[in-house]
Amino acid sequence: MRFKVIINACSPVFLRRVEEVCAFIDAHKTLFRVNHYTDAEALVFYSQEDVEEQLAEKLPFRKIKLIKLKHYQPEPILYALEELEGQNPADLYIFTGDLAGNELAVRFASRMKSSSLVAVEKLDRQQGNMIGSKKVYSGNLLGSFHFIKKPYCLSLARGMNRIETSLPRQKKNINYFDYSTYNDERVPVQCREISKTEEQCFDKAQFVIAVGRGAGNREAVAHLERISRQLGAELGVSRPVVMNAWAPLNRLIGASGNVIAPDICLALAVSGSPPFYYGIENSKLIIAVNTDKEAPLVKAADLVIIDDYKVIIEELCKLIVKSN
Amino acid sequence: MRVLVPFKIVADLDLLRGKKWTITNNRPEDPAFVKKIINPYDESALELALKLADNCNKHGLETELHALTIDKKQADLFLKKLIATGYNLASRFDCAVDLQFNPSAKAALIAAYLEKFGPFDLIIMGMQSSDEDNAKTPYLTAEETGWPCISGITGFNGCETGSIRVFSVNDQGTIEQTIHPPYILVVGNAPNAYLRIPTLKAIKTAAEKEIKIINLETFNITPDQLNTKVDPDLIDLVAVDNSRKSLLIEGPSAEEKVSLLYDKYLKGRLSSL
Repeated sequence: MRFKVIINACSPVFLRRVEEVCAFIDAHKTLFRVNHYTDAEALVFYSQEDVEEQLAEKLPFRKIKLIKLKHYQPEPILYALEELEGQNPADLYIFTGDLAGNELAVRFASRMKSSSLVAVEKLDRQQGNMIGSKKVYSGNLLGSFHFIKKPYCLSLARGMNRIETSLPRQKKNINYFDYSTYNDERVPVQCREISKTEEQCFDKAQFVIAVGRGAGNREAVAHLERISRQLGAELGVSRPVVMNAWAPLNRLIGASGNVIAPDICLALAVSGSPPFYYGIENSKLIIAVNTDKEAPLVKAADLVIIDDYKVIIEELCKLIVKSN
Repeated sequence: MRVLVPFKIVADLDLLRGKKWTITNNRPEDPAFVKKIINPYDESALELALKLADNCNKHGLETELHALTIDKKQADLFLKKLIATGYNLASRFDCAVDLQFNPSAKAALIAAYLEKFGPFDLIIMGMQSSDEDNAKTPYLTAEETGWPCISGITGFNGCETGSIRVFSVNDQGTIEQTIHPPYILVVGNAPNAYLRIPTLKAIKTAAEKEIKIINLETFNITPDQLNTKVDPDLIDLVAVDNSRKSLLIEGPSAEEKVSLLYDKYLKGRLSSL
């Protein structure tokens, strides 16, 4: 099967996405008929000339097309994909597990009049058909979908497994393309980056305190952030907390935010909606603290305390600080 | 400025968390029996459109907001509520075809609405629904209409010149862009975007207004044309079991519960971090 991966290197965290894609390829080596993720061919979009050499160094694929853009916009990427791949497409394209990956997979497939599936966790071949699996109904159900028309375009689910990747520079065949002069009057007349995504705050977090709507207000969440710092934990929040603007978006845990895998996840006043649980389900130990014993997270946690989270965290803080 | 906000009514799946699901013919039966809500991302889209209209009005720019859903009569209560919040027109696409897991058909219907009842300047829609989780309809609508789109929208402002300042968050970071319509704005996790609550007076006024009902004949589309758009095809649906031990830590006081938690389960783990 001829397959290619599409990477948006305009993102500061693109290497994390590359590691997810490589783990996905390695998990499907038989299906893709490759020995290693390095055998994949990659189309990589980037926007800054100064990272060109860094990209060439870090990307772990034998065949790479490095495609320069003015800045990240889906339109020039789709245009370039159509031009570079339209005549002789691969059988399957793997896009990254982020918003850009979702959009590009769906829109490129639409232009190729082919099948697309977003947030895929697993691929399989059954009776000659390509089947992709993904969570639906907010993570309650797993759906299997039969891809009908090639080239199949899929984006990965958020927070998939990652592997460390490397490939010596001399083993790479790199071709350069320039689409930075692409001109489309429909794309935004002004574009300003307000803040860059920093290295994900949860990447190395081993202890996460997750806070839900039950915290009550912005001040309570701010207080819990201070306690988290004191305990050496990262603070994460559920979607209602972000929606109420009690915490910034980069602290969101869940299907549309950060998917975390710490040793300990202490969930305070979180009801545990399915999209939130998707974000913490890889935690080794989940402790739910809630006054509501019927809260969904109570059934999905390893340990449960039914009590006021404020009292529990204060007491826990005292014990941890005392023992340090 | 004319704005179309397609939205979806979904089951409140939070109410089904941890329950056993019954699946028949690759469709879950359970969501039919729980309370319905506006899909959370669509709710944000609907409120952001109202905020945009507020902002445009401040600058003397007229706006016309259309809400559109593809649903049965059960959606009419929601549509009336939207009229009460400030929507000028609420339309319901009464479609007898099962469009579950068929985002291409939904995009085609939105594009058909746009063509028949346009011109519109903006389509504002949520990035995905909480049931099907296709996360494709906005992008397929972009391809159907040929309009550019921006995803991960968290907010926007109308400007005096008719251009719009748009804020979005994606893997790159937070980005501000100035766009000239037409555009599709795909709303993500937008803070402070819960749908406003209409006044009692507005609710009474809205109750007397008509909901626009449209169907496939309105657009000369046949059910077969929609059914052939299913790709990829859902072939299996199984429940995911996320349950864990749920060991209850009990004690006469909070202090003792915490002490038990710390000594037995946390102390060793924390010291090895």
